Amino acid sequence: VEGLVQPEKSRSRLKIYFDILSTIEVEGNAKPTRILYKANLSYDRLTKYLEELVGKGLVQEFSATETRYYTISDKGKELLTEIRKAEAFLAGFGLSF
Amino acid sequence: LANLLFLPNAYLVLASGIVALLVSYYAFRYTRLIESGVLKFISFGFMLLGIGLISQSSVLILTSFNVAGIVERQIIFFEATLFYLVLQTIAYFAIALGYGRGAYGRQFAKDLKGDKAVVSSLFLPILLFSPFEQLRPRFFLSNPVFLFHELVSIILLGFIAFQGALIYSSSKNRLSLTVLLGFVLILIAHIGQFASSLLVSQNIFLVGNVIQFIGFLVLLVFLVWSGRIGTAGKV
Repeated sequence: VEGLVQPEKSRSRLKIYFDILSTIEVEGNAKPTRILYKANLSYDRLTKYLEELVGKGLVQEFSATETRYYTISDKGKELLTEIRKAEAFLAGFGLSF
Repeated sequence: LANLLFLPNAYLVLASGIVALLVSYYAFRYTRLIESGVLKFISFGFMLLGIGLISQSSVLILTSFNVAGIVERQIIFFEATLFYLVLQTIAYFAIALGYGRGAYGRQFAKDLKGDKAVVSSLFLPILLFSPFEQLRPRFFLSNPVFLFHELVSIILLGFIAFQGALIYSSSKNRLSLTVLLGFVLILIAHIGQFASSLLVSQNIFLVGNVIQFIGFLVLLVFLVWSGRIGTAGKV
């Protein structure tokens, strides 16, 4: 059936940021393995994106009992809200990011 | 009745213009976050529409108070209406282009991008009916320029509404239904304004403006709704 199977689109950087940030927001203090699983990313890509998010002040990193945790910052929460608003606006015009 | 409703009608046009600028602002705001050609077209189109509606309403308000003898100086009224019509046509063209791009992909816009004749043809009637002196006595009702621009707007809005229906049929999203409803109401308003021009009826014209305002009100509901849904965290 033509058109039943859609070609897979690569996720944009913003969509990946959104998936990581929303996972961390839901988890509170999120382990990298949990983010990796929820955001569907390879370990190398996750490390790269987490470094970027920490560098931009959207996510905070801390260690406890030899495990790294990530928590969302206020700036990260603001960005997440803005992306969700944009997503809702785009949905009105049949678009997605 | 038409004279009594003249000023409230001007305020409705003003409110419609403000809503159009709000839609433009939010579309532009999100282009800073999401690089999207469609959003740029939508922002540009609604900006032109907003400027046109506000300029038209300003003239209507000035006319109702006869500020600086504007009623006697019909040329301002005529040129303001003409300015609004041109902006409106370009605005709907930009929105239709953006919406079509959203529905059919980038190739659609690329196909039309090089076709400058499409845009330039919109200005042809203005050149054909120059000089303005000949048109002024007939004002805008039953005026060929007004009729042409209304007809082009109806065609473009018909296209936009059809895209909206296609988008809603595939997404079944309440937000896209709201946008579709807004555009359908604006389309009905323009059909009413076209009919008012043919029948030279100010009452139908005023009804058309009221329907147009309701259409923009629905778009305002969409803006508020999308903002709330975004804040709540579920789309």
